[in-house]
Amino acid sequence: MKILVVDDFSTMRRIIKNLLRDLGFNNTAEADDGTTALPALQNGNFDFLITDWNMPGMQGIDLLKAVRSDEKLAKLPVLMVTAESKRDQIVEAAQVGVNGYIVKPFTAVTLKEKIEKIFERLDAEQNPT
Amino acid sequence: MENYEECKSRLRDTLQKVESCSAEEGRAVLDAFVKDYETSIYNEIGRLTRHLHDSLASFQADEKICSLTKEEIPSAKERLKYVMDITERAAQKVLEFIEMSIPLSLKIKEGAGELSSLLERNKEMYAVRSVEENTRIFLKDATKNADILHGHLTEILMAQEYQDISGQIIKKVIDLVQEVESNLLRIIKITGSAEYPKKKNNRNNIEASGPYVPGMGEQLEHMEGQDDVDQLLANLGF
Repeated sequence: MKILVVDDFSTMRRIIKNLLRDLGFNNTAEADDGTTALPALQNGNFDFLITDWNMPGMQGIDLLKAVRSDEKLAKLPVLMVTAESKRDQIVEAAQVGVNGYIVKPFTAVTLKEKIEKIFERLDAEQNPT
Repeated sequence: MENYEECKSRLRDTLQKVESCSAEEGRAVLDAFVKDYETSIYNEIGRLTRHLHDSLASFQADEKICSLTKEEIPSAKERLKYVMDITERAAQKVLEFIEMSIPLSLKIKEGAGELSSLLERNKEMYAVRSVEENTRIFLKDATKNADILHGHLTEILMAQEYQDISGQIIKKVIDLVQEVESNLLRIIKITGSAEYPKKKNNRNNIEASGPYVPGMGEQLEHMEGQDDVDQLLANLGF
């Protein structure tokens, strides 16, 4: 499982990477905004994307849209971890196909739950009973 | 024509005169009235212009405003930049020591696990050499690692000292912002432009606006926390 963590603050990337390692995800890479994340995703065989919303250059919501409209990446699970908490923003993210939405400040338990939920749902979609 | 009542009574007089005289005379009376009225408007504009000019001149001379724009605001920017730097440095330091501590705590856990399974396997021959040797190694390592962990925790503790400094700096900057605000209010009062422009409400609702700060009077609906977000997403069929 290879995960890309996108946030413009290195501290936040480091926190998320540490939490992911505790959850058993050791294969992680970092990017500081959408413009660096997108080429990394296109060339990197990532299985999961965790992204912030408010970043200089390309914002998280635009990265999500770019991922969904890229034939190769369209099905990549995307978890948004952001301080943006307006109702309209969350609705927009849901409409353009986010798989999970976490508002900062968040806890390790929330991150674990949301990631698990995303995989449960993906499993159910791939192996319908 | 200083006030409305006076203006009204002069207009009444003028009308009376116009009623009771010839057309030619009436035209002259009306002309005189209009001229008089225009003069008073020009006088008023002149008075306002002079007042504005004096006010602006006095502002230029106002030392406090000079020092606000030339020194205090630039230094406030520097101060806030410094707060950003020290908080980031503290966060990096804390993360660094946490990252160094996690493997140590795992090592203690692993060592304890290995030792207990070794004891389990050698129940009968309790005092065999290998168990004793392993115990000694584990205890030595555990003591050393606990010491290192203690050191890391102290570093993490000390890294929180930024809070004191950043708090004081931010308070100073808040005072400065208040002073700028009261000066701006003074300008607004002096120039008399008390009309506030109507609030623009056409801002893009999904535009990123950073963390929500309680009491900031945002018009748009905010989620209070993860539970609210989960509820909203559930309503959307998530």
